[in-house]
Amino acid sequence: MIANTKTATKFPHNCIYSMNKKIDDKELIAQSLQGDHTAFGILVDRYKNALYRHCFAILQDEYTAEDVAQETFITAYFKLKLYKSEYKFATWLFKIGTNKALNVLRKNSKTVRVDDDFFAHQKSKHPGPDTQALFNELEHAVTLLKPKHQLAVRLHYWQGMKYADIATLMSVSEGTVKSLIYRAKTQLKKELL
Amino acid sequence: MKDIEKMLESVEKKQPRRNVGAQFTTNVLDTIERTNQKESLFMKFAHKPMLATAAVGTLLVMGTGAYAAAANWPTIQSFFGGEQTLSTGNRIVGVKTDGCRVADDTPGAADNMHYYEIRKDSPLTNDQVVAMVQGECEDDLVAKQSNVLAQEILKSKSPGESFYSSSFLTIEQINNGSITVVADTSHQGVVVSSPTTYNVATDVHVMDGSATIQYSDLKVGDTVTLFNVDERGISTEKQGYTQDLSAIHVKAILKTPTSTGNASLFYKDLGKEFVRVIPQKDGSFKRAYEFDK
Repeated sequence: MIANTKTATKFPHNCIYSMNKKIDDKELIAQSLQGDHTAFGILVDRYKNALYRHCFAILQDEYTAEDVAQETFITAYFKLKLYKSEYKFATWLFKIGTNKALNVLRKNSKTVRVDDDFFAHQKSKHPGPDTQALFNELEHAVTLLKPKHQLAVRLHYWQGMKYADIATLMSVSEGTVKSLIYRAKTQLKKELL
Repeated sequence: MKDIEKMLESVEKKQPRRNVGAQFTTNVLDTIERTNQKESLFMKFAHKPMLATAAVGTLLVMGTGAYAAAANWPTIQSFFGGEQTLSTGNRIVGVKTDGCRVADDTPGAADNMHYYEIRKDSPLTNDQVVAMVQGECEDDLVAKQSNVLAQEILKSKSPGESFYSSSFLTIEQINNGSITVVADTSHQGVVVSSPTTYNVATDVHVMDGSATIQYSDLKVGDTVTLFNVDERGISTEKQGYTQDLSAIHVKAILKTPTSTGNASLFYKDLGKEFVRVIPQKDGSFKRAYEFDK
């Protein structure tokens, strides 16, 4: 007889489940903490697209965004013990993702290359030949901003996020976010006007 | 400044033109599993890097010895890549793997060459080194495929049911409604090998790698992973809990290829007879972990 098949194999997803049809994040996190990959897989499935879009909003590159999103989940898994349940899991996850995306921006900040393809499908709300060129210039100028400034601008203006939410993601105060955006706009003005 | 504000607000939010890749979740879980394996297997040894002196360039790829997995499964092949004797008397053996990466920390891993330092007095032959790497690769492949199926099953699980899987089981008896299996202890983590009989669900889902097959296709001697649903709840304090298997039924079965490698050698000798080494730019090798003391 196999005395303990639950621990008889190498795979952590062999752990016992006690789950409802709709499994909430906290339960999945608890199971993941016990080494249950399947439970963590459900969390990944649940948030992967939202996180990917968030990373994309910051990085403006699909492949980099997907890489960063994957790295975020891997980091989250190994740091799950540090997660505090009083916060939403998604907030914690997006915070990690934001930091990782920021690091990518930092790495790329000295070698920024503007993606021509981006301009091809970037549309303003009021497109026109002149304004389109201006928007292209604006986007290019944003890529030249300091990474934290870029991040704040992208999240606020192009993701429609509130200062408070950006502050949470960046682990800074709301005032700092406002200040970052102000400095970013000053820099953009210098570049464009 | 207001003009800038206006312009920024006028730019429409850019959306990605595609969703994440189909393998996104699998890739994440695979990486986690590989990292876990490395930690549990490798990091239990003292981790102080030690440089061994041998020239990477002198290892010759000879390309002998090939192995392949079964149909419906990706092919894995491991080859002897050459050897180099160190001044300590230990030797470095290179193993090239197609369809498998044992570790991610080897530079230039595109050619999937892995290196092992074998003790000078070790009885391990080069063929055995190749076979053990092949075995480890095959175990990983089964783990990956099991993970895919486990996620599928989880979607249809009822509330109150618990679920678990057991891999590397050999079928001893099989008929309509029940299956008797014994664990193959040559694989990592499989420690008990007494035969056990389980009830099989009438709608049991059976797969062989990526292909769906019939329950009747299974036969005595096949190696399988069983995905069991346990309706006993999670309390283990109930009297007779461990003996009562009637509330467990097999929900799905993954037929897995018969191993062509020798995973048991890998797990038995890791740290004792061999350690993995990482080639350095200066031609030396650094141990990924130390020999057992």
